[in-house]
Amino acid sequence: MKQLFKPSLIKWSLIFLAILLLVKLFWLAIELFYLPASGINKTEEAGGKSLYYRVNLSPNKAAPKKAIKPSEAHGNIKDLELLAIYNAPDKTVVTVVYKHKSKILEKGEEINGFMLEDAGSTYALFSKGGKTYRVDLITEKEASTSGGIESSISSNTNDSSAIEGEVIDAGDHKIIDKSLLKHYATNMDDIYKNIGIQEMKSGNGLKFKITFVKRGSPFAKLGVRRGDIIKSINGQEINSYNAAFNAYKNIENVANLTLVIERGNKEMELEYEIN
Amino acid sequence: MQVVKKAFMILFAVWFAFVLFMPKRNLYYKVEQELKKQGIVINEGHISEGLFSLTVDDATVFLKGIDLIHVKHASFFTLLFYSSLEIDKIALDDSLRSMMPTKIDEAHCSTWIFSPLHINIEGSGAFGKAKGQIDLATHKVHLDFTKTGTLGPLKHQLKEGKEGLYYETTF
Repeated sequence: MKQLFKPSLIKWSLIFLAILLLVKLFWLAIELFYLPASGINKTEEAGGKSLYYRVNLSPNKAAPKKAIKPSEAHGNIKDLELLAIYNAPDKTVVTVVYKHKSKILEKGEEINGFMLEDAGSTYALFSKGGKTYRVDLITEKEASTSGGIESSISSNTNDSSAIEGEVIDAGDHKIIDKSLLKHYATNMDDIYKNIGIQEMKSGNGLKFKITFVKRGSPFAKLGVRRGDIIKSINGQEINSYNAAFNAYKNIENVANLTLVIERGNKEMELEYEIN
Repeated sequence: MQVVKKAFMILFAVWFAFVLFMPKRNLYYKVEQELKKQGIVINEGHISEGLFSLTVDDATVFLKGIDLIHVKHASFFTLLFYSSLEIDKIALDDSLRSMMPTKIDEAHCSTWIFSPLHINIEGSGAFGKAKGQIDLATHKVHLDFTKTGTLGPLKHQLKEGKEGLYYETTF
């Protein structure tokens, strides 16, 4: 009788199918006993506290100090031109030009009714009638041409490597220069040159502890110290990397900043105004 | 000769069945599980399995809970002795722009069974083109920039070598 298929072909086909079956069974066993049946997906964090702003409802307490607004050159503040600034930890001295005469002022001294409150690296803050006015340092070019009060910061804002702005102590709160905030918001690596933050396990979440603060840096001027634990930023609890990163990403858009820290066993609130 | 031929055929059948029936999706889930231990979570839009490949579309990579990397398309390919990973359109979070390029057009990683501890990598984007190796034995990354574009923050991290700019780091 004539055979339809060669016996060797049938034999090899059966061997091939047996191999396929064995390998399939092997993978099936691996899949069942070793490999997960579903993947891991991250669900969006729920329950994050929204941003809040402090409202003092206590009738017995004095009204909070009026926030210092960016100076709008109006009235006779325009008569003042800021020529030079000397800023030491214990002394602040500025040179101003008023009615074509230069005068050296110390913190607390007055000129034309305006009292010198503080000074940054490129500007001075004056107060009059409960209002605060900012006078920017005039650049050489401006001094030789118009002599007007114009911002000298704007010319440098494109240089991301240069750190502009200061943190000024205004008594009950501190004022952070917006350009300083912008610099750190766009140069994350510069933050870690000035401050060290270490994560610590805390229940299901994390805690962020400050391990060092560079002396004289803007971070030191913020009032934070080594050993402080950052609890929340603007009401947003900082208990995960995501929360910390979200706070960092939104930092450029906030007008006020409230930092809650744990120092020792006490909770402290640090308030900042972004100007 | 017949014995060699038979052995080769059996070996081929085993290899073919091994690659064909490999539960690629479940192996990918296993990789996800291992990555999670390192704080890396991948959320993928779509996963599809091919004969020798697995493709993942619209993936978001979370690093320690932070939504940092978006990948339009990634394709894993394996023949067991050769494996590769091709990634298209990688976008890193904009807040990292001061540290590294945030847009990478394509990246390609491959490894051979003969040198399993060496991963060849290639990438291109606005920064130009780079080619190099990840040495898992010495924990070293070396990247030669064959064509340079807008280097941006990378400029300060590159060194000048005999064959042009290169990047080197250890992990």
